[in-house]
Amino acid sequence: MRYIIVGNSTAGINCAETIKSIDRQGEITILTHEKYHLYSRCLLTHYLADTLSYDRLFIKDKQWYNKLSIKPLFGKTVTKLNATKKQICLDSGETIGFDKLLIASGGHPICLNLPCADANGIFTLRTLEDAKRIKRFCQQYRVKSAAILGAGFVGLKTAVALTKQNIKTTIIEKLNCLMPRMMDDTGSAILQKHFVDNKINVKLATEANSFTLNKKGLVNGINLRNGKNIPTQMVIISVGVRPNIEFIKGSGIKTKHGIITDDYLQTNIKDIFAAGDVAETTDLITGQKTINALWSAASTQGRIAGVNMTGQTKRYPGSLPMNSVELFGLPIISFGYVCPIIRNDPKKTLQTRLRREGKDYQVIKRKNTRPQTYQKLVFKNNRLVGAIFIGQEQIKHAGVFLALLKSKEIIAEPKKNLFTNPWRYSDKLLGSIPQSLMQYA
Amino acid sequence: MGKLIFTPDLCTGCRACELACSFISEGIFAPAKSRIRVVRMDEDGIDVPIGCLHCEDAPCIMVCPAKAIKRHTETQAVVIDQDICIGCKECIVVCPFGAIQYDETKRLIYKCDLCQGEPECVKWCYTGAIQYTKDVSRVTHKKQRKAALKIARAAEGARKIY
Repeated sequence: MRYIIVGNSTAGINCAETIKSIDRQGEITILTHEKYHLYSRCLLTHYLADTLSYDRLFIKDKQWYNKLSIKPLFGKTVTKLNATKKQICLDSGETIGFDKLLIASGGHPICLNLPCADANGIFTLRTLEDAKRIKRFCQQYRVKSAAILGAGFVGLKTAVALTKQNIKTTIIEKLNCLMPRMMDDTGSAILQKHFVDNKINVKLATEANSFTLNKKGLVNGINLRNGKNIPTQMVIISVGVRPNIEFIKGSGIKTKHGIITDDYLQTNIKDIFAAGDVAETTDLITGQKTINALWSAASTQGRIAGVNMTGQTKRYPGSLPMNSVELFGLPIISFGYVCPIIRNDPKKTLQTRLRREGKDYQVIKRKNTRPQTYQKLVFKNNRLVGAIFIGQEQIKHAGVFLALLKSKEIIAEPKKNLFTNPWRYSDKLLGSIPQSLMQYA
Repeated sequence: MGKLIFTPDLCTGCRACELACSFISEGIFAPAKSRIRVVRMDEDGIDVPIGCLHCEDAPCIMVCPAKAIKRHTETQAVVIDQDICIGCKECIVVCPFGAIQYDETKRLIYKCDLCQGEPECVKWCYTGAIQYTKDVSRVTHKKQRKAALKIARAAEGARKIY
């Protein structure tokens, strides 16, 4: 059996490892446009901050491929997929045939189509090569100030990393909330104060219009939509990621933003699977197909796709948005449906939904007397659908709440008791939680 | 190679395990720092010991972006390598039992490591609600589920009395 895996990050590697453990004779080829073996993308900001050494980025050693007789092809880009002939074409001109294919090609960061966006000093951060470029630039030009466009997960982590390198950082976010998809107004206010206390400028409801350059062609400022200009030596754009699906055009694979998969991570074409940031999977909360671009989800999807590619079957229960991070010593955990601010209309908040969808939703907040702490649970029809925890005490045992969410258990009143004893339902959890949900994130 | 077996029926809620665990790990009697906890279900009048089950397919091992969680070669316990851990707490989010904990004073993430093969909590559990077995086939998901159903039935029984 010839297996081809497009993509050498966590989804692809987990898939290869799983296939090998089941089908020892199978021929596995794994492709990547990058020149590095598996590194952890999540650790790139720690590498930028110099709190992590270069070799710690690589979570599998180079010999891993040899040991498992997996053939890696580095520095190759897939240009076309011929689904009927079961072949992929590479940029080198080669054509490789497969019996089973996994598309784990991930995504690329969105580059804003603004004037001068390709100037020297403007970067995105997704790959190890990006991180290296940023480090070199900072050293070469002795960068002392930077601006980050986009206050999502990557943007905030990058801001912390640059601050640790004594670079004065400004965060510019289009919406009026930090971490717009995974935080509400209260949480965002706590985060904002925390960042300001740590000498980071935060500009919400602010949009960049264009960049200004100096005589040497280096970026030296950002023109905002409100007419003001922010001087800066470096810009990092982290406004989102688009799935890498260019090469499957014309192949007949159904896509939305990414590749649509079924409960077994197979696409609409037999023997072609998808996993990771490129795959649309069932969202556990909404039931719709969506991309939840998380390292943990990609790892799990890679494994399950691997099982299904060998001919055995394993159902993928679905993914959900989940974030855990510590920013300047403040731990933040949020998952599920917390307070979705619809991206194009910052005025539409949970409050509007509550009015529209009525009594379905219930929000319980814990009264925390300590500043900079927050705990909130969101219920829909008495089932937990989302949670936010901010603070060192507050994040403890967050996993029990997540398990409760996955179990879809009906929570009795008074719901605030859940804060003090989330194990209240553990007997039902242990007994009724399906094995797959217990094992997979 | 071993695992802890919890039999909630036998737990009296004395919490000697919490004291023993915190003492052996931290050198102080501090139940809040114990790797094992006894959860009170007041409404049902029962106590349930909850700790790390060193799961066969541990989600914490899989989720860690730094690969800091591994299986100990001798005890097969799931352990966190503090030198590699970056403190992201993804493992805390993914453990359905809340067995992984965060120490805000030391800024460390910690969990049960089976005391290198001689778990202290077992030595101090008078009723045998916590036992240590080297025969891992005794503890499987099926058996854990059976144990959980027992708790649920015990709770039902307790509710009926009141």
